[in-house]
Amino acid sequence: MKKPKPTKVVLTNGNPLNGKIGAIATPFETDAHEWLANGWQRKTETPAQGGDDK
Amino acid sequence: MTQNFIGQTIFVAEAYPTANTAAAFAALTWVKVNGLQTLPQLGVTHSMIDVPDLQTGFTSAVKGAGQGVDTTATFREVASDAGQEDIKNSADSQAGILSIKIVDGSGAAQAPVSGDPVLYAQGIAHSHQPNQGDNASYEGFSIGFRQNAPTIVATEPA
Repeated sequence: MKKPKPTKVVLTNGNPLNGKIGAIATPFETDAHEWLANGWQRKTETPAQGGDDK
Repeated sequence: MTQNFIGQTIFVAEAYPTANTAAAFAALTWVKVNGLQTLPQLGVTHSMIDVPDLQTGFTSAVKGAGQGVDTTATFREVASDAGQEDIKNSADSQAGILSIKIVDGSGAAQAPVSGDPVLYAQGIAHSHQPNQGDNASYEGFSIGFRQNAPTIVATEPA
């Protein structure tokens, strides 16, 4: 059975200690909790395409 | 075989990754800085703690704390370049937050391709200095970069 593609999420920075407010990061969904705990916020409800789709 | 640095490019992000790992760096949004002339040097220096001994008369050392190196990157001026704007903004800002990515790209015009060697580092951008002008110089600038965490050696993600 084919392994599902890893999903990326689009986050935006809301904490000046992380850098520029509004900076964009696209971590994998599985890593998103670490970013969200550090002041990053979900930018969109629609997950971006990511992973091994090239 | 030992290689030179020709063809390497630098990308910046005005934010820190959530962890000092390749996966976290790869999630940042990177902007290429055109006009690169000299890369910042990456690495750490360690202080040494001297331990004298009166009987032997020999002072030995134990390893002390490490810190990132503070070196300078130089660029020629490229008008309306988004990367140059970002790195100048970061160096001029109060916090100077900057992540850098150095790539030995194998794609067209040295573009990064999946699997290419990549170095990631995070630190402080500071000391933005436009070149001094005279009748034998060109426009450009230098930026200081003080590394704040160990370098991450990785490859360009898929």
